[in-house]
Amino acid sequence: MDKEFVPYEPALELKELGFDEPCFGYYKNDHFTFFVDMLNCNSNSVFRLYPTAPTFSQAFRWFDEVHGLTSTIDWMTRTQPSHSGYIVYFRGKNNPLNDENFLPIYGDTLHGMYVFKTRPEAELACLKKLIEIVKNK
Amino acid sequence: MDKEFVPYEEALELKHLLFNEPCFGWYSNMEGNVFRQGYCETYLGIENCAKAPTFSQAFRWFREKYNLHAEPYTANMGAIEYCFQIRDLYSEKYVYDNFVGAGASYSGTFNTPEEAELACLRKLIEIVKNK
Repeated sequence: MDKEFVPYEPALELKELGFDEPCFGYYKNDHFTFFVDMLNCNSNSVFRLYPTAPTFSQAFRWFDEVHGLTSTIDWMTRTQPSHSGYIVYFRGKNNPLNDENFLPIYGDTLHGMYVFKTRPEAELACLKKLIEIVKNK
Repeated sequence: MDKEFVPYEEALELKHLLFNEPCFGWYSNMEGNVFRQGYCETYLGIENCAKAPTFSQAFRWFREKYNLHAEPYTANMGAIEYCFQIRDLYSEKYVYDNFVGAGASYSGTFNTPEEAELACLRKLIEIVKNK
């Protein structure tokens, strides 16, 4: 289940951005710990002291609901199979992110979008980009 | 957090498809399909009690066990609308796309990501059941 959770550093950044949703666990001294009573964790004093550990899904949902930023992790098939993989793009719900309201994570090649080999890599990059977009608002 | 969890009916269907991954909770049918935190192996042997995965866990399971990649995505139709595709990662081809049509006459979109996620999960279950 650990693949579900945002790592410590981004979890800390989310807390700094005001992420305040109930989570399944939290980070204490960089170590992940499950909440014993996650359904009531809003009232838990631990929740106030340490950065909570959202799942990637919770984090993406929060960016969608609070910041109006939608994110998509899609698959791109390229002519060469070794160039196929996951791509990430964003749209603004209330305010377009650009003229086409389509902002991908770009690569450094002529092919445009960056292609991630694994979904976990794409998820982490997606989260980091969302954090960057909100910080730069 | 309840938006994270697969509803009871779909959790039961996943159980019937032999989903058996560690989960954050489970559904007890003895109390009207109530979500219970934690894990209780005793009750999970009872028909109509089921583990409660998150949508993310369920999608990951379909990806790893059946090579089916669930792709909820957004379409910019003036306003943002939510849709989904399902791709076979082995062939890299789509096996289902909920968005149909183009221009002013399109269908298959949803107003919220939650609706798209649930529809996507139901479609994955249907695809695997029909295999």
